[in-house]
Amino acid sequence: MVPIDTSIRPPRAPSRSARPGARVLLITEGTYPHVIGGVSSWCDLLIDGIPEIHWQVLPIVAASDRDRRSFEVPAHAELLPSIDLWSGDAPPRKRRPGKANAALASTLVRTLIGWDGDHQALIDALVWCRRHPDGVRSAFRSRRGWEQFLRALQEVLAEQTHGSAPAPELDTVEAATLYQTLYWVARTASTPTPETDLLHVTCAGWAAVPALVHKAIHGTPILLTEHGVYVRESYLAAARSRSAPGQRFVSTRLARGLALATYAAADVISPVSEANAKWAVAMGVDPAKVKVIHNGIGEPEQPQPLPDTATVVAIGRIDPLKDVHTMLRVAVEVLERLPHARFLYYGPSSPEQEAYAKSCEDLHRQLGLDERFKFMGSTRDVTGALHAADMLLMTSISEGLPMGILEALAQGRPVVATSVGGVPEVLRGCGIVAPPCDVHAIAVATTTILSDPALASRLGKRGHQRVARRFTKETCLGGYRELFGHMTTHLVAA
Amino acid sequence: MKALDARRACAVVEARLGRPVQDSLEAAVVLEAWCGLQAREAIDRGRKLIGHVGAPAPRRRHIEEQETSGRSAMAEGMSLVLAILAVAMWASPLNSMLGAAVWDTAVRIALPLTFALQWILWSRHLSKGEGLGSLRREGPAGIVGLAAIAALLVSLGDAGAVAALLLVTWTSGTVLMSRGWGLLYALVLASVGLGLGFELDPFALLVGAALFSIAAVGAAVATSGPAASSTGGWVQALVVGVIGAGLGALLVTDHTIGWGFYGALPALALIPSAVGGLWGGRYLSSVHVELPRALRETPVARADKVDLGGPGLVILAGAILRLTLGTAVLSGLCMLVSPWTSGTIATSLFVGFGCLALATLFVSLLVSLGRMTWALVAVSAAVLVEVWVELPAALAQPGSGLVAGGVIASIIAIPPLVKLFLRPGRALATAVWIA
Repeated sequence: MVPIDTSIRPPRAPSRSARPGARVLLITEGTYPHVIGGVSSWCDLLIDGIPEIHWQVLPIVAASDRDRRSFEVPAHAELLPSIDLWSGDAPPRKRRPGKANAALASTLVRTLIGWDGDHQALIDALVWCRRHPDGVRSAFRSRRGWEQFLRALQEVLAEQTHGSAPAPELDTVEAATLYQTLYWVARTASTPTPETDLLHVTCAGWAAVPALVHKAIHGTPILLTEHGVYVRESYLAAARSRSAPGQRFVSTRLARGLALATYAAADVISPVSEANAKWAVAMGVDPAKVKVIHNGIGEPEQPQPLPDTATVVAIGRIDPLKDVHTMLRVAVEVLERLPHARFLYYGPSSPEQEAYAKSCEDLHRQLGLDERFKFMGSTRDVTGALHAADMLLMTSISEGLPMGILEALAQGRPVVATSVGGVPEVLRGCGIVAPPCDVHAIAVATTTILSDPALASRLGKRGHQRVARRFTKETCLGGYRELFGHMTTHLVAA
Repeated sequence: MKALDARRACAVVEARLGRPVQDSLEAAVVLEAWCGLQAREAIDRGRKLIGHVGAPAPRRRHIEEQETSGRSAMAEGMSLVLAILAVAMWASPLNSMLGAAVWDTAVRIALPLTFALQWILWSRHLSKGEGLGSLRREGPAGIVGLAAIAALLVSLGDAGAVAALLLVTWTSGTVLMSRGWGLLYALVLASVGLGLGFELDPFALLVGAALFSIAAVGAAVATSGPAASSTGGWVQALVVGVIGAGLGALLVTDHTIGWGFYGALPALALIPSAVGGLWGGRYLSSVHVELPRALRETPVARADKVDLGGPGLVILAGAILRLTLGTAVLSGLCMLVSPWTSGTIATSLFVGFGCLALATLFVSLLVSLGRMTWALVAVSAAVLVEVWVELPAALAQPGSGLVAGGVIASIIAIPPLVKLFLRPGRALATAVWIA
């Protein structure tokens, strides 16, 4: 295995800091500034912490989230009109479309859904969309567009590759759904992007589409910051879903196609954890392009003593990736040994995960947890929630580098978490990790901490020191300043 | 886990998934998330075990029932009927109080403008689920626009002023019905009718109705949920508005129908076709659910095949049948009770309104499928025929202009619709799901 240079050290004196006034186009997907979450908090920290940059924020959101606003964009940042996916509206037309590009949908299905998609053909198709925004709709509404798409899709489904089992049968509705999804990819590509000096993409998915086009036309470098691993999370979601094989096939192949295209086009990839970096390299990324920059939080204050009330706090969306079911089962096992323990779960349930939230409530009822495990809803006062905690519990099956854990460590709270993503590298020496979904191992670790206040206190102190040393806001921002400096040197040269 | 060979790793992954693995990445994700392997090793193992994978999981019927809500259909139908009845109550007293010429001119101005505004509202906001939320964003601009049109009409004299008040009241009705407040709207209209019966000042009553309707719209919009989608484009909305105005023009350019001279009759005779149109339209709107449901098990290889008995044509035929049946039965009832209600017995009038309802059904379907040009051509041709073609005296029965216009619009609109729905898979992908 090729060693990865993942060392971004805190800048002693910023040898190459962000060029003042440089323009950075930050492209988000379903997060900042519309939806609360770890990625949104990270965007907020970045924009707020590097005011010398002229930030341009381009959000890509589901139409249903467009009117939500969870973060105020500061004055030195420019919020561009969002790209609203699945809005059901025809795109605004400025002039009559020319001859429809009947090959557009078929090219997209070959390059994004096919196992060995042609990267350059994909970029050419996306660039065509940008140059002919008025032609995208007519291309997808045309008879020939649909016919060519069907032929290409059948070729893709018949592919024999080393990496994939035989494709499942798709029905007409699944084919039409994919056709519509590719139409939205094309519309995303057709959306104009402003002049900028650096494209900063927040995940290797839809957010990369405008950047791929911009780079192809203007040569502007792309920086990709992955918090989770987009393709991994898509596959995880599919693995846990009960959707039809055709739907799973389409959603995961699209995520894979977008991720591979993003990895190929990105000049630098800055995952938030070494675990994520390994995924990128395993997916074929040149290790020289990978620079890990850990998330960071504000300078931690002196921690308050643990309340010694056997209170376990969890922070995170109610989402299958957080594996709340396992947490509920852990609570049952812990409560058998420590009946006075209490579990408080802080976090919203998103409209897309209503069914999962309902299943959590059902399980909570089935397990008879009553008031001993409370869903507290969303909170903006994470610090307050952690003050009342004796420990933080996290049972996710996928994570980047969770801010919730950093917050807990900063407050001197010990952590029990699953060994996913960047969690083990944060908790090294100051917390307990257990395999994901292993109810018994997680419960034993939780019970150990709750019943040994001295151990809890010692781990909390170590965590506090570790955050102060390795995961501060300054370290994180310093890393990005240095990267921005590197990646905008062409401006100085020009 | 490291000791596992590829065959056993494959078994472990399939046990965790409960089905055959799809590809090497899926295997890698499972091996990493649930078996504790590092990313690199998981991906390497994932690649190796793909050779041991069996056949893909069999298709199972995917259950994703999206039942159409029939809950509001009855309320909507009742509200519409009440609204028409209430307006019919106005016709006779206003006719005598304002003078037949003023009332007739006012209706002929107000109807096409109301249709235009209703279709613009529909295109830009109301067709999009929580469209009242997006209307809220444009509230101030909308009020200014409506006020400007009303002011222009008022400058035309008494008939213009009455037309302005009707325009405001009727357009507000569209929003109120969309909000589910149709009963309130019908009550307002009925109150005006009662006031007119007591010979109160007609202008004061119409102004009161317009102001109350606008206030109710304000409340309806303010209390609606946030918009889930963006507004439609203005150019498209204006084209749709022109199409709506054309359909309204069809109603008023037929000079065999006198909106003033015959008092309430034309309004009452509208009820059968309005209800029939509502029934047919409701059924047609199920195309968004029924078409995908019917195509669920159709393999990709047959996705573009011609299907004469396919779901698209069946739904279209069902909508036509419902409209025709509803209109015919209710028209018959109207004619049966006409001796006791001093109503009309002119069959041609009911046929005319039925033809207009049919044309409206086809044209609105063309618009919703994005076939604007066809819709525009159909409506324009219908208006031209109605205005320019002089019917022989023997054929000039009440509503004969509407019959001619409606038939022409239908003849033009049907072929593109049939052509589209002949291939239901293509219709779903290229028209129904891509606006």
